[in-house]
Amino acid sequence: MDLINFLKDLNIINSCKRRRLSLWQCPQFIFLLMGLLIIFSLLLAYFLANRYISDPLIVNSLVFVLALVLMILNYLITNSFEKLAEVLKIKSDFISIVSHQLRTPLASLRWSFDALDKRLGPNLQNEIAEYLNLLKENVEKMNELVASLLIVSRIEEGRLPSLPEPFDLGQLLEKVISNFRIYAQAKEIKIDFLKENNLPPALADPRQIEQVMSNLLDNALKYSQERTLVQVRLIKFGKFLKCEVEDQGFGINRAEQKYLFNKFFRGESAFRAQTSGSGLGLFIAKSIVERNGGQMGFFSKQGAGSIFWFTLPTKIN
Amino acid sequence: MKKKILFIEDERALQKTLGDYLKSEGYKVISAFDGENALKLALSEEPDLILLDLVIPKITGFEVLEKLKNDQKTKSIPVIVLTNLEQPSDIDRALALGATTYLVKANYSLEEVVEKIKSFI
Repeated sequence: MDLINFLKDLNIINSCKRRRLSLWQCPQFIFLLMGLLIIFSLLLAYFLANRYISDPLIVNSLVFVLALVLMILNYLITNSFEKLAEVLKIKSDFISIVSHQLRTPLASLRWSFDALDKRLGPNLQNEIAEYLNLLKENVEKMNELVASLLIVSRIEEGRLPSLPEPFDLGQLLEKVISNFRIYAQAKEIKIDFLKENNLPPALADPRQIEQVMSNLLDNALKYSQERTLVQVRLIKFGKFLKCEVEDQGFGINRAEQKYLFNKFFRGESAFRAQTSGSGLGLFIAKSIVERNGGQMGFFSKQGAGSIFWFTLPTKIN
Repeated sequence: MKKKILFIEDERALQKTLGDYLKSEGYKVISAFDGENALKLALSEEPDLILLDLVIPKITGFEVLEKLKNDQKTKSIPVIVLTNLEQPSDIDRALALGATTYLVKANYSLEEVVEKIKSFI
């Protein structure tokens, strides 16, 4: 299976297409071409020099032409890397500017709805109140999406500092779980929390870890069928604490598993289960955990469910 | 005597929503839409509290804050920064300049913001 994936990765044309680059702008292709050209030229030069050319001047000229060709290819490679770097920067700037610019009108909308609610709330007809609630819910969703985009842009620019402090991870998990209870009850999903006794305090940024746990629990509930169980476990794991979130949901098919932590990735199974979602939650969660000195991973079987886990350093480290 | 709040914000919708809410809670609200006017009003009106956006025309919110805290007449007025900038460097800078507290608009509902304001006046 791994060999097949490895061979798939070698499909350079597909890989360049996926990055929306022409072959002459695709570093992988140019590298491969350069490698093949070097091997071919060396063999040819050796063969010609051995068999047909006795004049060292001709051999030198041959080597000179070869060096010239390699120089041109090098130039193309450098250019394509510059282009990639520039595109990455433009994309990152774009996300950052758009998110910032969206925040102000979103705050205006949110506060306008709040003001309407306060002034007219008790006198509103049911139907109008329902529409108002729908508008508020959607502004809230947009607000969350913009907040996620901002976090992604900060992660990419290395501007998401974590402020580690010792804290009770069990208590934090309980708080996050209780925030999700109403949502879980709506789908009749039971959330169990099991934790080992006498755990040391975690050493990480508690606000960021709250976000990680919220993302994991949100996914577990979103991609689970009704009347199932979600289990959260917290154990000691060497010098680390390990938290696992297990669901009995739709699971992730094998082909999609390797892309799961890529930003904006939404698997087909995820899309079938829930059309809304930005594909940013797991990317953000993993980046945050790693910046806090931990690791994140998962086990999943399509149709059976998933276990997402993360580790965090403890104060005794 | 009604307590006076100087609300420095260039976004009309936010001036209207938060301004009206504060008025309904019994405060007198004075609006400033840019930094220059804000400084004049702070000196002439001597408000009990100032709400300050950081991204405003003419003089930035950081400069306004610095000038308010360097003026004997205004230095003791509590200033609540109410902005959408949420970089730790911005927060540290505003607090170092003397802001009483720092609130990110997008993170609070109107009611929550008013509750926070009430706790400082």
